[in-house]
Amino acid sequence: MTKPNDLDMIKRLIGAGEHVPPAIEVLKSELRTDSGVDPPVDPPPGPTVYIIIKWKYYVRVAQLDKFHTFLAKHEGELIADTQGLKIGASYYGTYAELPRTTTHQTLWFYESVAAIDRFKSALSGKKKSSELRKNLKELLSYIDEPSLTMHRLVRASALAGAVARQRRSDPVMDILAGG
Amino acid sequence: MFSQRASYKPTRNLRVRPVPEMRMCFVFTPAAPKLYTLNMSAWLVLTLCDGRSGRDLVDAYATEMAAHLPRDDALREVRAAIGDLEGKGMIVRADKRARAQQKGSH
Repeated sequence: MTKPNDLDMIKRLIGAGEHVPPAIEVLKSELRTDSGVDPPVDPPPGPTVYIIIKWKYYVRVAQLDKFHTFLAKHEGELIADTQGLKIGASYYGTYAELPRTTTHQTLWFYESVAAIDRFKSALSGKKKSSELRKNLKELLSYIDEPSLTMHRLVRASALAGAVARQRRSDPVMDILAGG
Repeated sequence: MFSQRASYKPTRNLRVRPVPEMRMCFVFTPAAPKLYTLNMSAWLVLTLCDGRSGRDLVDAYATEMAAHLPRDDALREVRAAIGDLEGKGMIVRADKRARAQQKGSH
């Protein structure tokens, strides 16, 4: 059963998030093939961003004003500093979900898979005192970590044919697919 | 049906697995083998079912939700959640559980 200290954690998480009425759902089991798809390394030509990484998280109500003020002051620097690296990685902005504005999403755009690694290297190579690292560190400090989820989005058109190529064999699925 | 006088407890052998990073928990009911997901509010109601009365449960829930909703809404949510938890075999009224245990020992 839930331990007493779980109650504190539950209260903390509830205090940090938006209110949703109680919901209980049956978890239906699914048969899944192990068919994770890796995006092609080289992005196909196209006018839009190739990979978007989205952080979704809550910010405590008590921190909201400070957080939004921080963004108002420093978001422009974050955009300029990431684009200034000229490695195909950029901070695209932090958005608050209406109407309660406790849920936020921060978007990162990458021109290629390699750009993600280049951005990591560029960041670790920067001094701790650099504006970019300081601003990113401050941004992270407002995130209520247990609530953080990360989503990787890839331009769907780049996956044309990729799912069929990468689907691994599964005996049950193969029999069923064979009719 | 929810009663402010009755007290509520989790059913015996109930398995609860917190997944705070996803703001939910998994609950397994061995007596009628099923796996459920509970969101934060439902998880809170289940956790508050520690033998306290329905009235105390509403008080505790309303206190935690005070920033989000008025007491009347809290009462409505607790009433619905208790009905759901009871119907799915996750909680029992404490007196019922005692009776069931007594019956089982004879």
